[in-house]
Amino acid sequence: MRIDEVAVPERVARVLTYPERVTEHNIERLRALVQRGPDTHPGANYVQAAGGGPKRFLIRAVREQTARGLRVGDVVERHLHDGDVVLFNRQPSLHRLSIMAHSARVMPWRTFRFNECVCAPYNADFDGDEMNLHVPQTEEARVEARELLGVTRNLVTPRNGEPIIGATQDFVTTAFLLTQKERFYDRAAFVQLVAACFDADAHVDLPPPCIVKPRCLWSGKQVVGVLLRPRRTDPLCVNIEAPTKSYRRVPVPDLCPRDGFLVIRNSEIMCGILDKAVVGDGKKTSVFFAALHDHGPTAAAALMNRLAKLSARWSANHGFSIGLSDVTPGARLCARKDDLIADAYARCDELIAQSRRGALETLPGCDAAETLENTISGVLSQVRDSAGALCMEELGRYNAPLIMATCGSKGSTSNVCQMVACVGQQIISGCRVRDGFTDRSLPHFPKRSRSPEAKGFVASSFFTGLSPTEFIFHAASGREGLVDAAVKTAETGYMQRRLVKAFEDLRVHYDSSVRNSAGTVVQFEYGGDSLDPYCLEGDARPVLFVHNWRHICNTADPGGNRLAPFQITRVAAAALAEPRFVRWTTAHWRAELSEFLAALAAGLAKLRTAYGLVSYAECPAEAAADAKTGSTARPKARGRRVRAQPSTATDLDISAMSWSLDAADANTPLFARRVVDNKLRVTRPMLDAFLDLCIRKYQRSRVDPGTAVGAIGAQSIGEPTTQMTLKAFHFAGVASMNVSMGVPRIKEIINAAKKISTPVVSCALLNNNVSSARIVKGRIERTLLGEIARCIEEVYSATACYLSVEIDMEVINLLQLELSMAAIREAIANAPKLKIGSNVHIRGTNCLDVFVSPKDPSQLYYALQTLKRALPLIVVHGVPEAHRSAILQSEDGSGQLSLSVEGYSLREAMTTDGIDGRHTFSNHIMDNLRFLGIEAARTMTIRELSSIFDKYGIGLDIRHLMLLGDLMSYKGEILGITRYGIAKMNDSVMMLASFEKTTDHLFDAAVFGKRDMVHGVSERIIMGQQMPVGTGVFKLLMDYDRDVPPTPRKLLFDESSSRKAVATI
Amino acid sequence: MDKRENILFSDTFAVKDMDKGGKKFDRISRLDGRSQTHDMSLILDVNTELYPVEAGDKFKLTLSSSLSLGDSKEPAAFRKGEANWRAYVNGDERSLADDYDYVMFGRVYRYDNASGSKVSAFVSFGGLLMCLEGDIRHLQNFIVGDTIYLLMRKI
Repeated sequence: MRIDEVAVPERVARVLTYPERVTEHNIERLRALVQRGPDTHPGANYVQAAGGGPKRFLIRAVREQTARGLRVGDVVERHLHDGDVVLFNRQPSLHRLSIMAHSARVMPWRTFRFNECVCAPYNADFDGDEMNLHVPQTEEARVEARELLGVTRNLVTPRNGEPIIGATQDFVTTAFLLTQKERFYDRAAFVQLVAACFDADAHVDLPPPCIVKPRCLWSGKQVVGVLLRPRRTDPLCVNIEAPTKSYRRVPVPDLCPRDGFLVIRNSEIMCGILDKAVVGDGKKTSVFFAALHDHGPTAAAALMNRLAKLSARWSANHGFSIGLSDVTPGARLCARKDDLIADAYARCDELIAQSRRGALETLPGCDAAETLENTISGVLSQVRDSAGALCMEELGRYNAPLIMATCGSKGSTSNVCQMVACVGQQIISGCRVRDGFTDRSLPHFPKRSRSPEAKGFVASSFFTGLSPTEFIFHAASGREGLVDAAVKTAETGYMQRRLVKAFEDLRVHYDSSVRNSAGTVVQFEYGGDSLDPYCLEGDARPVLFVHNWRHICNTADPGGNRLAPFQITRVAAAALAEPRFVRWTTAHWRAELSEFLAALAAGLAKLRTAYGLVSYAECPAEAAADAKTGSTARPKARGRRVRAQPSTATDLDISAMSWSLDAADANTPLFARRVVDNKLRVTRPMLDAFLDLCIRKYQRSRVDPGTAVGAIGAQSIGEPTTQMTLKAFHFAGVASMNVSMGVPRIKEIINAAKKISTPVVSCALLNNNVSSARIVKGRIERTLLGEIARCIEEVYSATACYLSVEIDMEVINLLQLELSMAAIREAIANAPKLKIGSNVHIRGTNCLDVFVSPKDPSQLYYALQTLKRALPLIVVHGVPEAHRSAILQSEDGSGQLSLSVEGYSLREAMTTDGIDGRHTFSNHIMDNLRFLGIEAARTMTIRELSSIFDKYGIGLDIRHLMLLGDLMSYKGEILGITRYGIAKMNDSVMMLASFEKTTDHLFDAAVFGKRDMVHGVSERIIMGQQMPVGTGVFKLLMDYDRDVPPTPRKLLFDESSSRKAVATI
Repeated sequence: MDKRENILFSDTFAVKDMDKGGKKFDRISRLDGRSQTHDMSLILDVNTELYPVEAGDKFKLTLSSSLSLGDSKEPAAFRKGEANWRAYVNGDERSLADDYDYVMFGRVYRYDNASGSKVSAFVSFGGLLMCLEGDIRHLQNFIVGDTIYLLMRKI
C-alpha cells in the first residue's frame, strides 16, 4: 500500500458514495454500476435525474429501468472505488496534519488500513484506534483536497519544516540491517531484493557488483542505491552527507569504525548506514527530505513507498524477532553490572556517613539534606547511564533490542538496560520516592534511611524480576506517568482551544501583511521576511547553501570552463544585482549568499596557492587591460542601454569573464591542476545552476497570500505542548534557582499572568569579576535583620522593657553589605505594620534597642513577644522582593558573569549600582511591559517561549512565536490568550459567543444592538458561508448557478456561425 | 609502475594492522597498509570471508579504470569502464582480473586534505571503503566521480 493510500473496507465503500455526473464518456460505466445496485460493491445507491425530481434509491425493481433511462446530466451516487479522494482523520485533531487526503483503495474485511509511515502525523497506532473517513462530494472539493491536503503535500510539518512522514519502526530496522557493511548478495538474491522494491512494473539497471572476484557480489548498500535511483537515466539524484545516530566524532568522518557517517553521491551510498536520523521522521538530514526539496514531493513519496515495500518483503524473509535469549545478560555483563551497583551503593553509604558527621560540603543554595539528596540522585542516575553504556558494549551485535536501540527504530539504550541489566532509580515528581510511612518509604526499611534501596532504587532488571519493595516503587512511579498523561491532556487541550480561537482569523494578505478579520495589521510582513516555515530547507533558513552546492557539484554537467576565484565573486555580484534577487529576497539573505560564494572563492584561491598555482584571487592585470582596451574599442553602439552604473564596470566584468583560467593554467603541472580540480572545481554552468537553484528555492518558500498563518501558528505551538511532561522544573545553573518550565510556564506566559510561580530577573554586570559581583549581590538581595543579628534578647530592667538586638558586624563585612547602624535603625523604624517609629535607639557600636509602647500596659509582655517574632523578618537592606539571588557563570566558556535575582524586582535591579540596566530583564512579561515597554514585553514573550521549546528539544520555528508575540502585544498592552484577552482582540460577538460565556456575549449584544460583520472564520462557519482564508480568500465576481448545465454555444468557426452569434459571444 | 594507460596506480603493500579500532563486523575487516616503494598509506575494507588477510601479509594492489589488458585484440566491451564486469563474468576472455585474486569495483568520491603535499583519495566499493593517502603525484590519475577497479594479489 502506498503512503498516500487508505484501505477502505468494502462495506464502508458501499455506504459512502460520490455523486458523479453522467457524461458521454462515463455513461456506460455508470450504467453498469446502476445495474449492480447498492448491495454489490462496485455499484451505486441513488440516481438523481438531470431535470430535478426525487432522488431514486436503486432497489432491485427499478435498477434495470433506471439504468436504461440514464441520460447525460443525471447524477449517479456511486460507491467509492479505488483512487477516489477521501479525507482521513484521527482525533484529537491537534494540527493540520490530523486530517489528510488519501487515495481510497477498497479492500475486504472490516478495518481501515494505511501505510505505517503515515502514523506519525495522525499520532496513530494499531491498538484499537478509531479514525474517520470523509468523501468530498464535488470535483472542486476533490481537487482542493488532493492538492492541499494530500499526504504527499504534507510530508513535512508546518511547525518547522521537518519531515513528519518518514520510515518508522520495521522500515528503519530493515534499512539499517540492509546497509550494514558486511551484507552481500549474489546476483540472484540481489535481483530478488531489487524486485521487491517495485511492483514488477519498473525498468531497472543492474549496477556493477562491488566485488567482482572471486565471486560476483553486490552489497546491501547497492540495493538502496537501486531503490533510490532504479535507472541510470533517472533524474533522481540524492546527495547527502550527514551523521547518523551511531556516529561518534572521529578525525575523518568517513572512516568512522561503526560506519556512522552517511555519504550519498548521486543516489549511490558511498559509506555509512541508514538509520532513524537519515530515513526516519523529524530530521532535516533525511534522505526523503533531500529528495523532497531537490526533486519534489512525488519523488520523495515514491522513495518511501519503495522502502516500505522492500522492508516488508525483506524482513519477512530475513526475520527479526526478540526472545528471552536477547535479554539474558551474559556472565561478564552481570559481573560488571554488579560491580557498578556495589560501587554506587558504597559511594552512597559514604555520602550518608559524611552527612551524619556533618562533613558534607553543602552545594550553593542548598541545606545539608538537599545536598545529600542531590548528590545521591546524581550518583544513582549515573548508574543507569553507565549500565546502559555497558549493555551497548557487552551485548552481541545480533541482539534484537540492541539493534533497535542503535538504529532508532524502537526503544532506547535505557530501555535495553532496564530489560537486561538494571531498572534504575524511580523518580516520583522530580525526586526519589517520598516517605509514605513515618520517616520511611516502606516499613521494610529502618527509619530515616537514606540508602538507595530504601528510596526507590531498583537494582534488578525486568529479566531477573523485581523484589516486592522494588515492585511497589516501580508501580508508584508508573502510576505517576499515567496520572500525568491524564492531567496534561485536559490542560493542553484547553490551551490549544484558546490559542486557536485567538489566532484563527489571522492570515497573510496580498500585500504580504498579516491581518485579522477586521483588517487590523498584526505584522507588516509575516515573520519579518515572508517565509513559510513549512517550506524552509534549513533550520529557519530557506536555502541550505552547502547542501545545494554539493548537489550541484555532483549533478551538474562536468563540461564548461573553470572559473578563477575573482571570476566567482564577479559572477556572484552580478547575479545578486539582478531584479529576481533584489526584488524577491531580503538583503540579509543576499548577504549570506554572497558570503557563501566569497568563502567558496577564497577556498579555491587558498587551494590554488597551496598547490603552487597562481591564485587569481584578484583580477589579473592582463584581463583588466583587456577590459580597458575592450571598453574603449567598443563604440557606443547600444545607445539605448542606459544604466545607472557607468558602462566600464559591466564591460570590465564581461572581459573578465571571457578571460580563461584554463588558458592561463596551461603551463602549470598537470598533477596540481588535477588535484585542485578534484577538490574544488567551479565552472560557469555550475555557478549559474547554483544561483538559479537558490533563488528558485527561496521564491518557493515565500508564504502564499491567504495562508492561514494564525491557525497554523496556534497549532504549531499547541501541538508540541501536548507532548511535554506536565510537571517539570528546570535547574538554571544553581540547584536553588528553580525556574518553572514546561506546560505550566507556557500557560503563565500565554495567559499573561500577573503572578508567576518563579519570577527571575537576569542582570548583566558592569564589572565582570566575582568580588564585585558579590558586592552587587549584597546590594540587591534582601537582608533580614535576623540574618545579621548575633542575638535578639528581651531585656527587663527596672526602668524599661525592651528588645536588644546585637548586630554581627563581622557578618556584615563578610557579606560585603553596605550597611551602617543608622541605616539599620532606619529600616527597623520604617518596617511596615510594626509601627516602631522612634522607638528604636542605637546603643554602642553594634546594639539596637527596640522599645514597645502598647496602648494597654498590661499587654506589654505579649507585645514584646510579638515584636520579638517579627523583628528577625524585617528587611534591613536590599530589595524586599529579591528573596534570593545567585551569581551565574555563562556556559559558553566566555566566563561572563551574570546575576539572577528571584522575585519581582526588575526596576530595583535595573537601577542598582553595578548592574548594567540595558541588559537586564525579567522573565515576568508584565514587569517588562511596565518598566521597559511593549516591544520589550513582546521580545521577552518570544524569547521565553522559544527557550522552553528548545529545552524540550522541540523544533518550533521562530515565526510562529513571533506571531504569538505580535498578537499578544499589537493592541499596545499585553493581552493574554484568555477569554478576557480574546474579547479585547476581537469584536465579533458570534466569535466570542462560540468561545466562552456564550449567553453573556449574546445578551450584551442584544442589549447594545451590536453589529457583526461576519468576516471571521467562526462567524462564517456559523453562518454557513465560505471562510476568508486560503482558497476562500478570493471570490468569483460572476454569478453562476452550478446546477444549470452550461448552454452549448456555437463556436466562432462553426459553419452556421453568423454575425449575430459572434455578437452574442 | 605499470605503463598501461588504464592502470591508475599499482604498488605493493604490507599489512601493518588489521581492525585497529576493534573488530566491528564479522565478515569485514579494515586493514592498515603501508606501501613498499612509494610513501603511501592505505586503509581498506576487505571481505575477509572471501579473501582472508592477516597482519604481516604482503600484497600487490592495482587500481585501474578498466579490466582491459591493454592489447588490441581484447573485446571492445572491456574498454568501457562500467560494462567490464559483464564481459568478465560472461566471457572467458583474458582480462586483467585473471592475474589477481580479489577484485572490487567502486567509485572515487572524495579528495581530502591530509597534511601538506599529501592527499587522501576516498574510494567506495559498494560501501567498502578505501582511503589511499600519499603524495599528490602518485594520485593524480584519479578523478572524483570516476569508477575504478581494485585488484589485489598476495605475494
